[in-house]
Amino acid sequence: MEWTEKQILETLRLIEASDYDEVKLETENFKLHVRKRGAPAVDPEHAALASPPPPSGPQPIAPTASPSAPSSPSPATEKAAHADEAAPPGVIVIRSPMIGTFYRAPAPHAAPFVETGAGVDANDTVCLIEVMKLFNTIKAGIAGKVVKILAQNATTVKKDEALFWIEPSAM
Amino acid sequence: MAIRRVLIANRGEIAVRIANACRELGLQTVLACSDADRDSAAARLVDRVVCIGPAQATRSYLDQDAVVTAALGSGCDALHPGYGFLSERAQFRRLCDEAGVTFIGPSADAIAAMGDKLTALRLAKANGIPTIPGCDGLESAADAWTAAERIGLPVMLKASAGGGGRGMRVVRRLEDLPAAFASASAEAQAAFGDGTLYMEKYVARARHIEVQVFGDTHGNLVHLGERDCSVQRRHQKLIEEAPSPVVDPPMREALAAAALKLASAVGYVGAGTVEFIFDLDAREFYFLEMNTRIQVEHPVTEEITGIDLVREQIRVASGDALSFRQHDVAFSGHAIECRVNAEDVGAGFMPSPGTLMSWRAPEAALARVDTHCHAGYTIPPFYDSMIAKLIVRGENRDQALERMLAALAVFVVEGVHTTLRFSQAIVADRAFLDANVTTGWLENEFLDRYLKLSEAQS
Repeated sequence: MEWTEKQILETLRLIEASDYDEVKLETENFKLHVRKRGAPAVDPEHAALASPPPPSGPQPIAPTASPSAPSSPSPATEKAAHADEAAPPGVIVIRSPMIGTFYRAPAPHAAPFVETGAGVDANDTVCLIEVMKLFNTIKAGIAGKVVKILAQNATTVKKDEALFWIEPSAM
Repeated sequence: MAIRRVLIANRGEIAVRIANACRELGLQTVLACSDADRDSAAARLVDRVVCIGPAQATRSYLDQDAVVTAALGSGCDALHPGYGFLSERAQFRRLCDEAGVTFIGPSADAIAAMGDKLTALRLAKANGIPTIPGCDGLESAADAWTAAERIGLPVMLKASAGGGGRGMRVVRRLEDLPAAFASASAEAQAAFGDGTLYMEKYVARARHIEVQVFGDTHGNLVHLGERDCSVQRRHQKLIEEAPSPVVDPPMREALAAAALKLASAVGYVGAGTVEFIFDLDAREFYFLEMNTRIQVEHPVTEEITGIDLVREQIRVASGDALSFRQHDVAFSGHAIECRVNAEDVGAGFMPSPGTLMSWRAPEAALARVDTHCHAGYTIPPFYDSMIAKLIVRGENRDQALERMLAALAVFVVEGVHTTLRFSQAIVADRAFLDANVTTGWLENEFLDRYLKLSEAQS
């Protein structure tokens, strides 16, 4: 796809406003690599995981209202915004994109979406976060193995709270 | 049976509304609330607070035994369920009856009959009330196919047991039917534990019109006119007004007669609302459903009739006759209500809980604001996103519109996203001013325009 100047500027603005120190974005005919001033260079394999903003529009990464549409968790590896348990190197942390109630299963008596040790695809649902009666589907965002589930079912989680540890499969 | 002490089994603005009505009647109040609402506005208004469970509604506001136990333990002789939560659970009403607590609302049988959409539709048909051509009890896509051929496209699939827009699909082409049936049925199964669907003719240009009815135990049954709630998103009302700008006097009379007939068929006691779809092209109305509770938008009716509906609910539950008869009900002026939701319109109406850094609502002289919010209040993430109702009355619709625009302009909320600016744009829009909107207008025409405009401005 062709990028307009406006879209590039908008993307840069979003990156500027984000928590990521480094973002790499690549499409068929377009490459963008941004490292914020003063940010140390990180392992490129992990840096690539920082989800770039959607290139098509200026809307921020908005978890959508429809339960069928996935919202974007923030798989950030390095800088944990909260004083939670430090993830081992190489492990991806799935964080809650919002404050809400964490549900591991689609219904009270249904089987959980994932268990510890389970393999997941990027598009697999790992949990639901309910905020004000709206259920948001949270996807794994990366293929790998669930190595730890950090949040308790049916409890309140904060924005950016660590929910899962995922060990990415070899690319 | 005289009521002395009322348990308020709800939260938010309606808990405040009920507490105020009880006070005016000289009744004592107890609030049954979750752990998250101990410091809410309603908690400060009542005589006593009973915590019935943790923040999650399923373990507090929806815990029938906990609520009844709270009523008994605090010596309440009556219970007001508000709207939502347990307000339309026949089983809960029965629990109250068994415990000897007066439920402020209709009988369990009336709740049960109207709560099941198929039963309600059958009752309406049996009483000669117009219903949308349709077909019920669809269990397979093949059933649905046959029904769609008979009714004619477009059609709408709906969950038999449901509401709130879940399990609903509009189908415009027959080839889309199998997929729509499968997803709607799965959604209905997940949400309501019952995947049965029904199908009806889809009215392309519809207004949502509902009639407020009120019955007592002395055989009185009256109507309080209609409300027009056509501005909706995902079947959730955003703006309501009374009277409807598209209903003429003969139509008004026919709507009221139909509503009273249905209410009478179930021996209705208390406040209820009979909802209709009004087909603008055919100028026909069809019964939609009956809500057996006080509704969110009841203030617009109060504003044009001068009747306090919540107070009347309590009086009727205590065995008193309605304080007015049909010939006493006079309609004066025009009222509009905007619901204020803590949602980020630009982010797909994502709920926006959080702390209110500032809260400046319009003066009472300009508008009525039903709310539980104030500066410094933290809107919890556990419940509905509605944080206030802004209601204005004018001598006529034009004056009400002017007042609404003025009230919206001075209403300032900081700290969370709200739908205030969105409502302002709707009310200022030519289509809304001209009453030229349908139930699909907001989503199909207005929303895109609004989002593009706000994008260009930012």
